[in-house]
Amino acid sequence: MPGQPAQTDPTLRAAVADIDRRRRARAIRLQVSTLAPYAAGAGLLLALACRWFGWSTSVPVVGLVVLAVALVATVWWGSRVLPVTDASAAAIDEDAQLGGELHSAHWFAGRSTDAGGSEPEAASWSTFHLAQAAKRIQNVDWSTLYPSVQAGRQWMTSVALVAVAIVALVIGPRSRATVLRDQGLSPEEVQQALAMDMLPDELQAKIDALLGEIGEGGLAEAEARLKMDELRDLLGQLSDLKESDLAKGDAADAKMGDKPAEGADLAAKAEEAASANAGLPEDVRWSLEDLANRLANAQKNQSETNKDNASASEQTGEQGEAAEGAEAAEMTQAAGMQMVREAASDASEGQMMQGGGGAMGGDSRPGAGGNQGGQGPLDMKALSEALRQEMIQAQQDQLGENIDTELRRKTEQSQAKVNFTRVPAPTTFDRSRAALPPPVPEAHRSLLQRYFNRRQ
Amino acid sequence: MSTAVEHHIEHFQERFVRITREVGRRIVGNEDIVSNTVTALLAGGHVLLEGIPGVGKTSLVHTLADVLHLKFSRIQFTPDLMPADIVGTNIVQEHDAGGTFFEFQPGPIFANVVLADEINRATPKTQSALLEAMQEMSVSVGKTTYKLEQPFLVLATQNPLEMEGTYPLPEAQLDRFFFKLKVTYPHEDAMHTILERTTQATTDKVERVVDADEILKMRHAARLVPIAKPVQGYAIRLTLGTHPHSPYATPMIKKYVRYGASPRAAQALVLAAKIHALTHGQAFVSPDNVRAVALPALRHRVLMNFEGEAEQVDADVMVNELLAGVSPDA
Repeated sequence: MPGQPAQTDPTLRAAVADIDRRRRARAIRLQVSTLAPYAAGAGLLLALACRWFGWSTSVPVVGLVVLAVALVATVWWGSRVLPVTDASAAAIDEDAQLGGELHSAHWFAGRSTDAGGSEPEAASWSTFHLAQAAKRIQNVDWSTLYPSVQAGRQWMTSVALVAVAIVALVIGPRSRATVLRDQGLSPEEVQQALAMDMLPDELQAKIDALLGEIGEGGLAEAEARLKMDELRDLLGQLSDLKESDLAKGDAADAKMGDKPAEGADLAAKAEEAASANAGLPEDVRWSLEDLANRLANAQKNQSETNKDNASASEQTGEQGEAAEGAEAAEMTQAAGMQMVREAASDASEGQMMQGGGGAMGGDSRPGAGGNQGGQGPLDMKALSEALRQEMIQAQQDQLGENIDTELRRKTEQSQAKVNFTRVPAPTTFDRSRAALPPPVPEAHRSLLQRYFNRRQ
Repeated sequence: MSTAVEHHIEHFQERFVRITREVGRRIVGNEDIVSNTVTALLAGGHVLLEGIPGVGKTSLVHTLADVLHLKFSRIQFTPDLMPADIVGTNIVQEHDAGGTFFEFQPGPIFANVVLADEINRATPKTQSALLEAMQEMSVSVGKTTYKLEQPFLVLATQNPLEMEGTYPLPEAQLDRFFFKLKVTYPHEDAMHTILERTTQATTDKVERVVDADEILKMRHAARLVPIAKPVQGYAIRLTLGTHPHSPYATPMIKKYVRYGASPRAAQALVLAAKIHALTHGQAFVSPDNVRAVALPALRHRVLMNFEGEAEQVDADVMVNELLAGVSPDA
């Protein structure tokens, strides 16, 4: 059309827009079909979690519905008709291997003025270009280039996972706590029941039996000591169990501490055994009393902790020296007990290690030698702090690091000498001492000359 | 209308193929060199041929002049060559009736195809005598400006090895060359063909395929090829990318380049891409066309800094890195 500006080509642009929509729809369907099994898997996990923890059934149902709606919305959003960008046209061109023709034609088709300026001859070229591009677009089999997404396996997997999720909601496994809650137990009762569940039955039975035997009395000294050793071993096992449970986390705290009735029972039995056996050796009786005290303390501490963990921790922070003293005393007691265990089987040796409370008795507890009067329990803490401080200082004071102190020491201990040796200054310039500039490398010499000569 | 355009394209394609085929009858190997030289001629540009002696640079120019049926002249550049030896000079003539007058004696520049052999052996002053001729297609002597006959093509050669006693072309002069082509050593098969053609009693004769008018028509057709703005933008980004401070510059360009290509490089890219498109039967320019001509159009327009020259960094490597780094999509 000579003399007339080339108008926009709606046909070509519409064709490209349709192809672009097909391309985007395919891409988004591919993505959705890939994501669908994962979404269904997430729904299944959610259903299992709901079943296990006893959450509401509506949570996974709503989750699955939301996921399904999101997938459908994504497909719709990706498939809607959009104005074709230059980058999209270039991408389609590349996919169809049109050598840039569609990309170029799409741009020319969108121009409202003539394609190549005011000259009609130039406009005829762009018109020809558009016509050629339209022909090539028609010749491309777009359904082969962008075929419909075949994702039957993914969709089947997704449906299967959703079905499993629904089944899991009905017959999935439930936690013991959930089962107990469903039976109408209060949270405290649930907690107690869980604690009882977690106590090893065998250990409990053994301790009960041993305490019973000691409590009945009538045991010979050697036999009583033997039973006492056995009881200590069992308590040691219980202690180990507690430590490993503590390492595992809060849930395991119930092992020792969350069984108040059990602790109280054991403490009572130990107390009873100690009082009923006056004829037992002193170290055995002391051990029984100690055991009773520890169990009673553990029960008391645990009940306080159960009341309010946060406030308990604050209290610990504010307890001050008294609490620290109690803690230190407990540490000392434990150490004392260990010493008792390590003592020889002879009763008199055991008495020596107990240490007396008198003025001349001194404190036989480890690390607390000498008669410290009433400061015994605190000294362990103070001693360990002092030792730690001393070690830190000893490590920090390395040779050469504290220069000021060392210099001062040297100045104090020696006398400074000031000497001056006169050296005559050179009166003439010695050329041989002057440093020459670095030589230009031979390889770069011609380049340097050429580089600077050219600028002149 | 479409038929006319189609006819133009087919005609252009057919002529281009005939020229290159005819030149190829005498010049063995180096098909790209022949094709690019003809591209530069059809774009109205000039070519700088770089190669060691004996690889057929001068033969190529001779053959091209024969095939194109154009006036050909050769200038052997030497250190004592003067500008007047190139452009011509006014000489005193006598009237038949007595008296004298100045008459302009045209130099060898007044031809369609000018071979400037070993251009870097002349002084910058003499080299600069070509500047006006190459850009304005005219020559000024005294107060008179003489237009050069179209088509006008300068084919300059230079030897990259013998640098002693040479004067590297100034940047302004280099920028006026449309393409810089590197004539490489022929491979073994090509050597056989060269020997068979040049050491026997008979020599291949080439036909005159097109004349000056035909070339001017082809030039006009090449300029009509439409180029979409995104493709033009790609050519611009490539040109800007040769500058060390450009956002499109590659790390190597940032390190070794002092100045990048001028806007004349972008013109060369687009024009050469149009001709490349036509030779492939396209009525449009694609980024592939731009990419195909980027190396000869940009390699001589990248000015190295001292570090680049000291390390003898190849401009081709940098242009290739640029082509790999700059995307055709904005």
